Amino acid sequence: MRRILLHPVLSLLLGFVCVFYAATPTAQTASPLLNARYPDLVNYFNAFEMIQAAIFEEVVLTSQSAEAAIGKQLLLESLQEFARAKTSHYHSSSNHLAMLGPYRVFESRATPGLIAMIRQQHDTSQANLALANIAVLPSEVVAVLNRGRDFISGLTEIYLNDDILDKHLAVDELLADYLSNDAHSVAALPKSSDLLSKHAYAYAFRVGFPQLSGLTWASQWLQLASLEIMLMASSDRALDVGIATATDIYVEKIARLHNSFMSLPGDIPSMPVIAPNVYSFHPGAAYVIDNLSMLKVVIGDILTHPGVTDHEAELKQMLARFTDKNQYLEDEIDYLTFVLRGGIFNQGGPAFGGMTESERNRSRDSLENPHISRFPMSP
Amino acid sequence: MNKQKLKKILLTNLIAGLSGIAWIPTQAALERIGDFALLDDQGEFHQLSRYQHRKAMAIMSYVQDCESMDEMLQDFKALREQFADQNIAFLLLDPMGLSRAELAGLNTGFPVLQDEGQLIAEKLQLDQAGAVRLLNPARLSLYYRGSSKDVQLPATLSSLLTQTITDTVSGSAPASTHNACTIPFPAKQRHTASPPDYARDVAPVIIENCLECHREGGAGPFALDKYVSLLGWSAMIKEVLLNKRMPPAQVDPHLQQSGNARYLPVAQLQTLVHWIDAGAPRGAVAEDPLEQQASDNLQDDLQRKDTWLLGDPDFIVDVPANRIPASGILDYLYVDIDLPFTEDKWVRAVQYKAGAPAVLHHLMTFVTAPGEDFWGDERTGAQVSRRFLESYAPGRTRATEYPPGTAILIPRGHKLSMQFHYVSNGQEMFDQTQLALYFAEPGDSATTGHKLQERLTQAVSAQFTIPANDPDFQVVAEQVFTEDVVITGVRARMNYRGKKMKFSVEQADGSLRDFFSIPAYNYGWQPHYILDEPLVLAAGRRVQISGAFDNSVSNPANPDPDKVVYSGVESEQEMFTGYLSYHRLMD
Repeated sequence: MRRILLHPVLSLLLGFVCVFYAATPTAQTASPLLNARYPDLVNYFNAFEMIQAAIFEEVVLTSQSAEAAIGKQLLLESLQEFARAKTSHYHSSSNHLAMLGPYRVFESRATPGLIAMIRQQHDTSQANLALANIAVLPSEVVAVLNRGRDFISGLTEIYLNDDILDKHLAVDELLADYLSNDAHSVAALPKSSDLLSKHAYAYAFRVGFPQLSGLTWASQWLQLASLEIMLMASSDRALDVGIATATDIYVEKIARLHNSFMSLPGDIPSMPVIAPNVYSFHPGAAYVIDNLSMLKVVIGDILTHPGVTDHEAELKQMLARFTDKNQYLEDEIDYLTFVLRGGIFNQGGPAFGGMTESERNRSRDSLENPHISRFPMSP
Repeated sequence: MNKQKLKKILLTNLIAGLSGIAWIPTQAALERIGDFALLDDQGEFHQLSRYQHRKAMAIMSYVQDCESMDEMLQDFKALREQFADQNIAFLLLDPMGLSRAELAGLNTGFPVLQDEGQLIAEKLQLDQAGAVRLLNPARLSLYYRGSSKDVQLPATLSSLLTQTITDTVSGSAPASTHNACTIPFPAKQRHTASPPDYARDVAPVIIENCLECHREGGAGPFALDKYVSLLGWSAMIKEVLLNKRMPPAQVDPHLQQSGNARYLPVAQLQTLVHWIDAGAPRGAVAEDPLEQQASDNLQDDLQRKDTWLLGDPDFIVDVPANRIPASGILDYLYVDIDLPFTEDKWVRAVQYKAGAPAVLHHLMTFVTAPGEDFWGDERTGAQVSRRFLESYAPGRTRATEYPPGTAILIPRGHKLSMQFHYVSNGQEMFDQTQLALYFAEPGDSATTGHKLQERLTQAVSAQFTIPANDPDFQVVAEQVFTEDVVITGVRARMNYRGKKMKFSVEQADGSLRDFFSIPAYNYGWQPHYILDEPLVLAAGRRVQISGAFDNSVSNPANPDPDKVVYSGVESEQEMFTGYLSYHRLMD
């Protein structure tokens, strides 16, 4: 056996197999009910994986470009201001999503292609390999994100399956199965907001790439809104109408007028805000989804921040904190206070019917300026 | 190379090996190209980012004098035939500056991109005749670099189509050795040896072409009023120059010219791009000429604020104040202004004074009958004659004097109908624009000795239905004048899905001659182009207005490519209207 394994050709093939396995999600995503009933929605979810991967790749490419040196300087200046803040800028009533980020053309040139990607057809096998294909994330990170995606797919199947009478039990079982792989699952408890806002590279992705952040959050909104509608729809007809309306709202969110995004979310969509009934029905499952959302933002921060020298090490370290089931946690009330304080509008609006204006007194209108950079050059 | 990349390459090699592909491509990281645009030998506009509906763009450098060019052209044709119906765009690129007439005589069978400044050939590193690049329109990146003689090129293209390649691949035949037809880049060489000087070469171009909008209080979204601003925006500047987004309102320079169109000459484009490529050096200059000019302009503006360039107007139209909110995209605003004139008036000159120039993007004014509004019969008519007064576009204050012997009639009881387009800039503002009118006496045309000619406008439209996801829905409208006329200007009017519009006149032999073309229509920039050389048209001759809509995902202004769009004047509909301003031919 030992001699056979050492044979160079077989060794190489075995290596290839290992590589192939590492690049493949833990399980093939299977959403037969969703596929049968809402193929367009499946395509949007697949596109979400494709654009998430492309966005991580764009971030790395931009950071590597010598022409982006000025953008890096502007980003660092802004991040220094953010670092002085006492409270988190996420889930606040303020909105810091100036649509013209410090990298300017590097970001704006990427967005038409990403929107086109959303509108293209993607099969699930492509989507499964999207994050692995970009080769900018350690395989552990890819495995956690893909396992998280499978978890959300499983949740949709449970909500759509009329034969499952005890849905709570089914979600319990799904969650238990998800958590059974400790290394590749995030906690089913609320993670500390400090993981999002107080790490060394916090806000880098959001400030550095506001349009790309908003695009991922728009897709995330559709995912969360769909779950809420699937759980709450009172009839098949109501379900169809709800999904169709949410899809229309999503299309509006990613539409551009005069080359400007008008309706991208300015904040990370969270379960208690966008899918409150899904959250109440099974908080553990909701925490997993929100923790995955936070993790994606933090990955973006690490890939974006000009000060990171060893991306792989930083990503693994941060991943360990998210997969840690005992530390970096906070109380439910603190978590709810955190995600709810910024209001519904900035996170994309409610699942049912959307929202056209902020419910807060200080609206985006008075705080956002899409035409003037918030990052003026220092003389 | 990191471990992930290594894994990916090993995996690709394994797949290639298992599928029987003998050649293993050399993978590198995804290589960003950025966006670019060029006109081809027919005046058609090609922009990489507007090929989103295609899987790839294949470009080959064409050098007429290269001995093996015909052979390479045949190779490229064979490749196109092999991949017909595979949704790939095949184009040639001429880096040698051949004229339209010379290119037309080549009969290559491909659109030939005219890269007169060689900036795109530089960008794509097309350094030899027959060099081929496969480009990814979605990611604005390079799939493949090689040559038409690379026997593996078809295999690479096949791999690309099956999406086993996403990163950049180098061909097996290095471009530098495949033939002896090297393309010279004299401007690049000159600028590499001695980069353009900021104060002497660069700042004057910015002052002349950019500063009037990109200044404090200007309509541009950011100021380019000092060196450090230019440095900060340098990557953006390079991209918008190369994709022809700026300067705005560009037209086909090989046809009629207009003072309302904006260009940078090739030499100036090369200067700016090569300066940016060199790291945008400031040089040793003590005083920043751009900052100085910006400061002078501000002083000038203050002095001019209360003055009219042609003296005291005969009448000042005070437009009621419009409120512009701090943020958001604003739809057009329409305002009717009643006039107190008890007799007909002939307008020989006008001047706008924008109340809030930082947010007033453009303004159009028509003279309309009491029962009409801005659109009048255009809602339903295919040919509509109205009196176009003048438009306002951002920039330094100017007055418009119509050519001697011509004027615009405001019949008694008529009014003005104005269309405002505002952009928000972060602060709530109020715009109270003024319009100065200078009158002529109809029987008093001392400059020509002729009776004053009335300037009119003809709107020529078409009715249609645009299918969803159609990238090139073509439309034609026609107008025949019943008397001899002089066409003085044109304007294209479409909504978000507008792609291009061309104006042609019928010749004596019945053929059509193009005289003005807007090859890359932009909803945000719709000037009325005053022709540098007015066009005399005999009675009975046709004017044809042809163009197209892009209702695909490739159109960045398209709100929803999945919608079928019908003709109409509302912004969710589409209109295809060519305006022709003219006057009757004088005796």
